[in-house]
Amino acid sequence: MSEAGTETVAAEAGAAPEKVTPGRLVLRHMLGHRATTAALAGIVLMILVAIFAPLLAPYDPNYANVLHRHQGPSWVHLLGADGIGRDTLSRIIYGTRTAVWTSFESVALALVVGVPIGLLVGFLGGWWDRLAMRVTDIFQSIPSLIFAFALIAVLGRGTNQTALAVAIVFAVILMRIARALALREREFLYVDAARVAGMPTWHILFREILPNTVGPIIVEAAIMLGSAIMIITMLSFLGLGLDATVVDWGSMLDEARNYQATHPYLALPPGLAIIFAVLMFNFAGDGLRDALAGKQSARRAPRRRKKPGSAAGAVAAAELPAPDVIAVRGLKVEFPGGEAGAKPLEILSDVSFSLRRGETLGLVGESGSGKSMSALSLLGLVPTPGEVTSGEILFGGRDLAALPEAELAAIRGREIAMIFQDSIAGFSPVHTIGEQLAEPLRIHKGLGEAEAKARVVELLDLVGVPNARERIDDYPHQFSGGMAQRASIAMALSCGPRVLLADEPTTALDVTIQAQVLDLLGDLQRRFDMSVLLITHDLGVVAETCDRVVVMYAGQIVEEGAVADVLSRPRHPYTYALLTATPREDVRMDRLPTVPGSVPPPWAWPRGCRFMPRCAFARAECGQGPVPFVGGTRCLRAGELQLEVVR
Amino acid sequence: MRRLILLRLGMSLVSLVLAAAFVFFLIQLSPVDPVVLALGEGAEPQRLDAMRRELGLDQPYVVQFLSWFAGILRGDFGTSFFTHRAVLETLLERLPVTISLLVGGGAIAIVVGLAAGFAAGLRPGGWMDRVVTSAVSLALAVPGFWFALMLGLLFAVELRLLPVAGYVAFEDGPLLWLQSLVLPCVALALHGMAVIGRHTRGVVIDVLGSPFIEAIRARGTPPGRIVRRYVLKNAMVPVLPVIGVQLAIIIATSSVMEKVFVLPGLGTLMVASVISSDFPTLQGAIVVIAAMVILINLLVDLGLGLLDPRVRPQ
Amino acid sequence: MKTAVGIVARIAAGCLLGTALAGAAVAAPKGTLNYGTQIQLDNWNPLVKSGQTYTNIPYEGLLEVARDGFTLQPKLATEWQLTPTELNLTLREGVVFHDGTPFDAEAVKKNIEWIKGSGTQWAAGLAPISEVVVKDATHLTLKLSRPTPTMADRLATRGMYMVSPKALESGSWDKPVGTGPWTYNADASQRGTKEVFHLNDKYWNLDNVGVDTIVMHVIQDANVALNALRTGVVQAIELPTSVVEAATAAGFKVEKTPTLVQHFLFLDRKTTFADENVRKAVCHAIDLDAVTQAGYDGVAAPVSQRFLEGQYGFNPEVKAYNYDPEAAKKYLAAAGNPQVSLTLPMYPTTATAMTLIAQMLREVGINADTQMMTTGQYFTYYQTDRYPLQINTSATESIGPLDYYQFRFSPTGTGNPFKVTVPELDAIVDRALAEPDAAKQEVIWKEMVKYLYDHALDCNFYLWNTAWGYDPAKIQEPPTTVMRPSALRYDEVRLIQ
Repeated sequence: MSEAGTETVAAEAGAAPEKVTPGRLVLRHMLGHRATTAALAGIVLMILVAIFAPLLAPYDPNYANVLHRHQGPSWVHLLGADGIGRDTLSRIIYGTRTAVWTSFESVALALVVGVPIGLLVGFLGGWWDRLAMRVTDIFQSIPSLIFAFALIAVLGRGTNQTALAVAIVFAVILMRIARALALREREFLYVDAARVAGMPTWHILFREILPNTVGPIIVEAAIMLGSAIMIITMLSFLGLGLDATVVDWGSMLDEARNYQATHPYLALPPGLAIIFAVLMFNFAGDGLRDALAGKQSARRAPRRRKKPGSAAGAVAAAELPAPDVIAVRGLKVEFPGGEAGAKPLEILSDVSFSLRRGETLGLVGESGSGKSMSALSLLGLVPTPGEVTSGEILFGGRDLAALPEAELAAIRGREIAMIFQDSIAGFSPVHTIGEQLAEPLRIHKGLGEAEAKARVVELLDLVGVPNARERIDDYPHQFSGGMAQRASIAMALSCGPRVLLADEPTTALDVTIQAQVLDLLGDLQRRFDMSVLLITHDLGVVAETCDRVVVMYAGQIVEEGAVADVLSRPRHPYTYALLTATPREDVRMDRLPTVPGSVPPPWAWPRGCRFMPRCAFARAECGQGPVPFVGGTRCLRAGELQLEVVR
Repeated sequence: MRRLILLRLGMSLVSLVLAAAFVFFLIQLSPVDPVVLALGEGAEPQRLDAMRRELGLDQPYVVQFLSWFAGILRGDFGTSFFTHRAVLETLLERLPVTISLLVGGGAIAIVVGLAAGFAAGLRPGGWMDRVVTSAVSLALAVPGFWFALMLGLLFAVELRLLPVAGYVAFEDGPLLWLQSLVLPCVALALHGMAVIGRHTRGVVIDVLGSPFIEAIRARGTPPGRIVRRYVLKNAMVPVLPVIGVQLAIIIATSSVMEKVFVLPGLGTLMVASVISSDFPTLQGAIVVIAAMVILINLLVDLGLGLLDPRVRPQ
Repeated sequence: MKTAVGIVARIAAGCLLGTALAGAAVAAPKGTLNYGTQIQLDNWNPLVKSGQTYTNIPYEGLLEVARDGFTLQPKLATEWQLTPTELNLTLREGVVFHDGTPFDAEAVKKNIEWIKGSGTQWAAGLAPISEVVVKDATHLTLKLSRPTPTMADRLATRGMYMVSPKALESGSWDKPVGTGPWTYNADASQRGTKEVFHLNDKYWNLDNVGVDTIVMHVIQDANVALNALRTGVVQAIELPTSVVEAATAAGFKVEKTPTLVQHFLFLDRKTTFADENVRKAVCHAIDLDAVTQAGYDGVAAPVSQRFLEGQYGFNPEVKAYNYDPEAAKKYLAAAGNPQVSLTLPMYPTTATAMTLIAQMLREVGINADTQMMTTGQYFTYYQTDRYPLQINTSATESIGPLDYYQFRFSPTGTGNPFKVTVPELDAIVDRALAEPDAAKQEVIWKEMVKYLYDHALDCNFYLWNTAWGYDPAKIQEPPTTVMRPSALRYDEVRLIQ
């Protein structure tokens, strides 16, 4: 029995709504997958066996040749004979016919009744909907098999009665699914358009909504075919299902059970037949679901970080020149190619920058430029299956890129801390803020519970969260965005890190709150003598809070320098374009000001300068080869261009 | 939290009444006349009418339902058409078996399912994941009662380690009682552990991909602690309802298992009641089953409330 | 003149007659008998039981039959004397019912009156009693309205147990109040699954009782039966025939006792089987050799009629209906090819036989379905009008042709739930009852048997042995009675301590 209906809907609801691909495309997707093809073939085979049973079966399935009873497999009876001498193979074949017929009958009936009612109820809402949900509740309190008992007690045994019982149970499930789909579709524009055009309800339901909901329903129906066989064989096994004149795998198993002590292998053929049938339907359903959603297979395991040619625990070759706290040199991050054997995809190319003590370094770029990735790679948190494939990250006398996980974990949160854009999402929703804030203290500083709690309250006071003592028992969802960000800052600071990585900390916040949080950050930085890497797309923030700035484009650093210099006299055309596209310096934007054109994706990076297609100053030689980073900028024409931003 | 409990309790009672009403009215549709069943076809009409009045069968259906349900709340489930004994007595005799199966099968399904799901989800694509995923696909296609027969074949007929069938009450020997329950509970757990395992795996993968996990890793929390503390609790939230549904399915499938292993529980009672049109017993047993399912759903809801603060009413 | 039952001894299994072992006297009853039976207990009214499995434990009758199935032995009556006009009984002294009521002639009179007024087949059996005369506490006379040679035998049947008059008055059958060696412990029992009995320490013959506790385990499934023996849950059990071989191979002993002549009971002769041609079609459709081989593993064998050779009423001119599907089809055609549909009820150990029979019926064009149910349900329905055809019998029939007629064909017969009468048959019986000469009477009874055959009112008879499996290390050979299925002579059970 599959309760997968809700899963399907949830997955569908979460994904971007797609129109159902035409049948042919779906079929092609399915056939591309080996297991699904096999399943479809298996189903076709079963249907053929069902149709041609009289031709295929060597004997009449009910003919009892008592002299042959309990014979094992032989040339006379390929699968042996049962307790009264009937040929098992013939019975399996005719059992296939029964299974196919009854399962299709039940599911077809359920579709015809359940889906229209569900669509109607979901679309209309109101008390129709409430009534339907009460019906669903009832069926969720009474398991399907038990309901079948009651129905059969009323209607009596028999093929049609059993199919009806199963059909009713499935109809309720399909109704629930169709209702959910209708509710979702109802919100879409095309439905409103239809309504406005004055189309009748049935037209909207069947011409507009139904085609978009067919996918998940068909998937559910496929799996229900398998469930139907299970339930019907169970009922026959119990002596309540199909009558004895019909050959059925369930009653074959019941008879086999009678002889369990003396002829135990009688149960094998019908059992294997059931397994085969259900497997085929399940795989077909799964394949159909994947084909419709266009899903890839699951994310792969996080592999051990490795860098070619580096031994674990390598110590950096040289000490860092003060005042550098972190020095990133030639960092390259790659993701594996789409198919096996393809070239890996470069995400970060030759990224080098350093963070000085006590400074705030801004890291600016559009989304997809690689700024978050750079920060994550500092902590060894490049999302799988990506990995750092060359370069060094020097910190505290060690190369972080070559450190094993355990040692990195000791650094994270303790010496280098990170805060994220969505602060609330950075907390486990089921643990209190207090518990989570206390954690770095308990892990890294080994504080006891009470001590850590006291410290947490102090920290929250420090960052300006009112009523800290009560608030530590609150959950993340009870915090506003600004407060949550303060809390994460508090947590980041709790172990006194030397470096704070702040990935767009204020982007998701209200304008007024943004200012407060930035002030807080600056305040804390001075107080604790931290270095801050501030990732942002907001040039205004950079102007106000950063000492130096690094600009990234398409996985590369394109410019670096003191904020005052870079913002007034940029040396890279991209920086210039950003600055000139900003209408006013004091206006905060939701997005980076638009520059004509778009950032090339990693698999389409040009060989030469990656900004060249959008650059107003491009020359032919710009596209000939990779552009080196010289004098704080990655532009061949750096010397010639006089880019000045007029304020 | 208390508000949640009271709210859910109220809803559960409503569900129970609805389910009981549904069963009652469904059974009323039967063409079998209990009075004719008791007195025989040839009985005189006056006797039939007298008995109808005596049993209250001449009242309108709603009144009959209310008096029946009120009786249930008092503990009076009526009298069996077949044995003429109080239905409650029979139900109480059969209940321990069904509960043993539910607890045993449920425990195995939950423990194995969660363990397998975690093992697979923590390292997707790894060998454990491949083993678990294949096992799940197979287990979902195997009919539980056939699996039970195969277990019996192996452990009881061939190896003679466990009884092939039959129930020994706890009072008659705790060890024998346990032995008579091992195979049925394992067979019962098969489907549930597969569904729970598959769902848990997906949830664990989802949770591991959540933003907060990244943030937690960034704080330097060791992986073991991440799994034990954060993945576990967060994963349990979407898994708990699935566990509830599987427990309900185990209750239903235990009827079939009772037949395979010849255990005198509610399942075999219901089957016999269907065959002999013993409606009071059937109705009573279904109400008890519905109550068990509703109770499980209630516990799941409360569990969710305990685990996930976001569902608690503010 | 030989009593009808008396003849059964000649054909009974020889091994059983040899064992005159009446159970050595023991010092005091000790130990628990764990016995497996397929029969379920419903209530304690002896008049509506189809067997003595349970009633033989707490109840006793005035007389009982010996192991050979026919020799009468004293029980609650120590002496009896049968004349054509009366039956004189001397009762045992010092017997008390479980509720303390003394067992005396007045109690017997109340019982007899109660049975006579019950409207059951047992009432018909006591019909010749015109008056019960109580002479004193231990002597009474039953006056007979007509000579009844089998009257004493009837007192030894399962419907004639003595019940406490107080219990009779209360009308409740929740627990048995008899005079027997054990009382029923309802609290320790689980109705329908396990029934527990404890010793009645006021029993009048404790010296000859072997065990103090009896636990009856209801086991209807062949696998569980075998397992119950193997694991020692029971010391003795009625074994379904399919596991007899496995039990023997496992080292247990199996004792077989002829117990019943089963046959097709055309219960619904009102509609389904009203037409004689339809009945004959069914009779010819069945290959009894195959059924007894496949369904009963050879532990049963076909016979030609209800009474066995040498038994009173056996008619050598009557043969069995032979297996002839073509003839069956012709008979159906003669009946106008009606659409005959029926459901054949069965319980787990008869499933093979019934499935085969249903298939054979289908081969000739009768739409036969089967329905699996518990033994308890099966034996309840067998006395109701729920199913048109069942395959069974009743031990009461074995006593003689009159009892057979009263059970199966008289309007009040328990085996005639559809209450169909056959006037011609009734006429034959009346003639037989009116015939004073014994030899001539037997001729008329043979006429009745022939009539039954000619009109296929019953057919397809087979002699069925019960197989009792037991653990020879724990229990002596279980004491059984010929032609009495499913019930041991419980007081004679001896455990090996």
